[in-house]
Amino acid sequence: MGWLFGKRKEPRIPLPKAHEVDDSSLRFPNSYSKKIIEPKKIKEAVGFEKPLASLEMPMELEPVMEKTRMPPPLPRVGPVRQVKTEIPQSTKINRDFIETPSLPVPAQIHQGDEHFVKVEMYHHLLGKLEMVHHNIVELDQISKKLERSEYHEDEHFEKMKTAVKSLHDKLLRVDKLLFKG
Amino acid sequence: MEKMPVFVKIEEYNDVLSLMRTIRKKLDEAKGTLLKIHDLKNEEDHQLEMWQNTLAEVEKKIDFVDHSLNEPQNY
Repeated sequence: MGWLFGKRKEPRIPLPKAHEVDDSSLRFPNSYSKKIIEPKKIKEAVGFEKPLASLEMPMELEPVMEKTRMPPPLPRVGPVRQVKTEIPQSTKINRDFIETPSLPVPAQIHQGDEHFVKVEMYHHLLGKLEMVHHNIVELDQISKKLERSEYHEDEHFEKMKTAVKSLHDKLLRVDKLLFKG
Repeated sequence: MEKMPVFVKIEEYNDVLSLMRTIRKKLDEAKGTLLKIHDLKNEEDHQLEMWQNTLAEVEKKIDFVDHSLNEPQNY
């Protein structure tokens, strides 16, 4: 029975030593406090501060580039002939639809029976028509004043004619009286 | 972005042009009539001036007759 209650043997593999644990990890998170993730922690998590050695160009490419040789020059075959390449009609660009912002836009456009006027010009025309309308109202008022003036003029002219007639009658009477005898 | 031009479609454009021609004719007629009225007014003013001169002449003669009748010793 000695093998049952004998001296305890120590294990050959060393057990890991317990390290101190921060108490804060055991606490419940406070619902009122906002979790703030600082940029430093994000950088550490992403590995931003690590050098980007893997993305750099390998230095072995340079010798490869040096090894490539230039091809030998082609023999000269006289002047180069210019070949006119004709663009097919379907692929030609319609220059009417190309935007030319530097050119002035016309104030009017006529397309068959339809006529278009630029909005600024349209507003200008409406303003001018409004002014013409005001001028016509003014002319109408002047015309009424002239009619009234003509009426008064005619009235005065009639009075003057009556006065001259009366004067003439009186003169005739005086003439008669003086040369009676 | 550059400002794109906006156009307004004008309905009955030819009628508008025809009306504009008629308005221009009427305007020319009105200008001619105003010139005639101006000439008539000048003529009227001239006639009125003549009338005024004649009335002044008549007044002088009446004065003469009146003085002659009232003060015959002076003549």
